[in-house]
Amino acid sequence: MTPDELKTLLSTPLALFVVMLLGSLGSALKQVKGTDTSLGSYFAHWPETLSALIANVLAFGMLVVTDSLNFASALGIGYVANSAADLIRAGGRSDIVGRTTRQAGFARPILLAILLVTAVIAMPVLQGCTALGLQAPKTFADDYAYALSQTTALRTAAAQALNTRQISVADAQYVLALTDQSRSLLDTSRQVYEAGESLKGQSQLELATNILTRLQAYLNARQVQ
Amino acid sequence: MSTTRNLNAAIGLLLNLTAAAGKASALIGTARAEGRDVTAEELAGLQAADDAARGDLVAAIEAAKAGS
Repeated sequence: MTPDELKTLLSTPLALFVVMLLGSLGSALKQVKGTDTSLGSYFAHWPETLSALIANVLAFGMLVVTDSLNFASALGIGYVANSAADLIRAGGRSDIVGRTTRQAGFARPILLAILLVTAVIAMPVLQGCTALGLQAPKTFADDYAYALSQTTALRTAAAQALNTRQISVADAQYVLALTDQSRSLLDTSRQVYEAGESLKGQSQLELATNILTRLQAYLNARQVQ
Repeated sequence: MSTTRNLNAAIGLLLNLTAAAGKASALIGTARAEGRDVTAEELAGLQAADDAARGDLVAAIEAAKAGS
């Protein structure tokens, strides 16, 4: 099999759905690691496991409908779907894992997880949903405008959350750092695009919008501190 | 921290995203109605809004540090 054939195979919807499930599995392994809970007993908490599966299916459908299905989005949202499943009830799977891995600061990572899941899921929906009266992006400038507005919205939401003590100073500083990184990439992508390197510019822009996925890795690291 | 507060924060972010997307959409819609692309000046306006939001976040961080 040539690299191109492998790339084609991995970009099929079925393969990307498997990638989503692998993302969820990665989240599960991360949560189980360092605890006395086995992977089997972790998944035996069927309400969370079922929720994660349903979330994966729904998110997969949403990504297809909004033309946002790619390797990064599949992996990132698959990971988030499993983490978010812990939120459905108290005393379930999260309680078992939490006894050995999560400490007093657990609430803030969960809050940020909710914020980021909302951001990751809501923005493609908003961008693709003409039913809300929003213009679908067609040009690089349109994509840039929407991505920049997403960065602005995250900064504003973080400031509001910090002012109401819903997140810590450290959390806000991290959001600031990543939104700065996102903005820098966006501006670079625009310069590159306007210099005539359209593919490279689009790639930079996609990199900027994928920074949110990196924030999820940060949250997961916070959970085991 | 209660689930209600988490939910409030999530709704707050969703509202911010909706408002921000609405502004960008309005710019794009106006440009299309006039048969043109979004101009550099209009994008500069979005950049200024982002700079202002950054300033607000930095100020909130400084205020939280001073208050803690």
